[in-house]
Amino acid sequence: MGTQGVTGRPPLVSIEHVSQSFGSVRAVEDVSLTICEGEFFALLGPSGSGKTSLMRMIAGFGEPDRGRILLAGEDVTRVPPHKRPVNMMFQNYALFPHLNVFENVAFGLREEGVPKPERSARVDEALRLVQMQSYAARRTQALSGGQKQRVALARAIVKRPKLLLLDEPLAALDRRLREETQEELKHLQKSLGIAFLVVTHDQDEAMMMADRIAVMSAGRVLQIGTPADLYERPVSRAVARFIGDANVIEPEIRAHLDGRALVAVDGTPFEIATGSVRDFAIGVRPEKIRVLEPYVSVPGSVTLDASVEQRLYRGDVTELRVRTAHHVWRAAILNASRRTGFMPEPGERIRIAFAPDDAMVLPE
Amino acid sequence: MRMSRFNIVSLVFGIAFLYLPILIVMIYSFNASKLVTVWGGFSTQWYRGLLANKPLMDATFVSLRVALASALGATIIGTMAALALRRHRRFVGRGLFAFMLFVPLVLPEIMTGLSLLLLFVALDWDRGFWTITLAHMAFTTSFVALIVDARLADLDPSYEEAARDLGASPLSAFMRVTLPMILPAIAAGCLLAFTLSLDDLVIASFTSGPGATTLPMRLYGQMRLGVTPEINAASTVLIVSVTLIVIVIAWLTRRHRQA
Repeated sequence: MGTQGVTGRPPLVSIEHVSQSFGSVRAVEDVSLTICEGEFFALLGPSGSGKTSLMRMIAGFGEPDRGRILLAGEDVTRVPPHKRPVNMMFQNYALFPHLNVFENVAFGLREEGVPKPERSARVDEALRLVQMQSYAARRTQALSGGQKQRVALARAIVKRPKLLLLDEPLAALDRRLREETQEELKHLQKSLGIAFLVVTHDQDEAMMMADRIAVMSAGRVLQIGTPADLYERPVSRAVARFIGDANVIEPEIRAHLDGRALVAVDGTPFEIATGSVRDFAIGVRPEKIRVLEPYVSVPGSVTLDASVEQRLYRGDVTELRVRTAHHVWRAAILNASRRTGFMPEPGERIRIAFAPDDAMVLPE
Repeated sequence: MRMSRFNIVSLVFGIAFLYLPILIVMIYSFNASKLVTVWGGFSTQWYRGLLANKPLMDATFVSLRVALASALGATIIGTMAALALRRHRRFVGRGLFAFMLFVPLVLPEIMTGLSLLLLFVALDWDRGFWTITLAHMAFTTSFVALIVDARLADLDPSYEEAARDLGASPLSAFMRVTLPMILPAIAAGCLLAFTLSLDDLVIASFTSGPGATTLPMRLYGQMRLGVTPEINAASTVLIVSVTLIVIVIAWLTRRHRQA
């Protein structure tokens, strides 16, 4: 599995074979990954996948049972949190209720011993970056959720860390604000040039913001890659299902030949490139499936007879649940093509087709 | 919502049962007559008499000193105990420690008093101001620990983690974040310890010696010779001060819930 970073950037964080257990629960299992300087990295996974435990170990809360964590080439595995050049934005923001906005942001600089004039200049600058400069004297309890998030962000970036950790940064915001904030975070990260590590369970959030994503499940990293890598070339059934929607089908594997395999779905044979993989499932994205009138066939495509079970209108697309001889599929029709395209009713006999090249090989 | 007649009646009776005796004491403290049960017009002479009653004033002074010293001691020890209980979820004997810390809350006062008396006798200590203070600390520490522990239980650990993350050492994180956040609870515990000490008769009786008589002990002693309006006046002063302190405690504990 790829632990090397994006080419051209030096590595900032190296996590080497890190494991951590709580009692009998194995939270993180043999995780290795590299985060590069200036990179926006996301740890994506459902709750209990170990992503938060891994982030907390990078911050210094909780030590690994095995493995090392290197930060800018230095082993920080046993360094306490207050001595790491890393700052964290907590999920609940953890703004100190007995301090006002300015004092909250100045907290870290005061601990560092930054002299007062410089301190207040840097706090002002950080508050300006998150557009909260006019709130400096406010009490934190009086702020809205979005404002608290901004103050927490200012407090975390004011010390100019090498790496900023963000624990579910958008989870507490409502949907509209979340989308706006995604773009702002991305913009802020590029302009500051600080590496960001975001922990999230929301795949859209990770896809939109991150340069690279590590997909985690049950304490392990399933795959690391760019959003496009993960979407177009998932290595496992789990990643294909977790990143976007996918029809994961177990085909009948009939023969292997020179890095290609002859497979059949519902008795319809076709050839796909598999490399050295011998045992696999195939994944087809719903939008890669063409919905056709019966008896139509597309040369070069895998064409299957099907019937429509359900039709769901979802705004941008209409999703069809269709059944072929042995499988159930989801197909998406762009509503923009509705006037011209074919839109079958539930119960109708149809055909579905996909190009063999659009069938992703899923070895795991 | 409108209250039913039944509820109004129960409320009035309940309040009357609790506070009527106290109210009578307070009213008769302003009685001009020397007879406790006969109203002879309004007067504040008994309050002036209090100030002139040297043994009573001495006892008040002893009580205040004991309450102050024991409350401070109990606050420090109780807070430390609560912190140890919450911070270190697992240490050998934690369960036993927690149990033993809270037992004095339900132990009969006469047991606490008697056992402390036996201890002081065994150690051959002269009984007086310091033995009363130590005895009061011994039972009020539990109350402080209980209040501070409750506050720590609903304090989100991420506040202290955020402080550590921003570069604060464990000590600095405690002093600058945790302590200010639990301070209202500590203050409430301290005031409670102060009032409990001020009120106590039983434990003080067991552990005091010549020259150190607390206010409740003095009042009790005088009452055995007959209830005078002066005692009503002294009781009124005590009740009013304790009520004020309890109001402050309620205000402090209500405020920290909101944080």
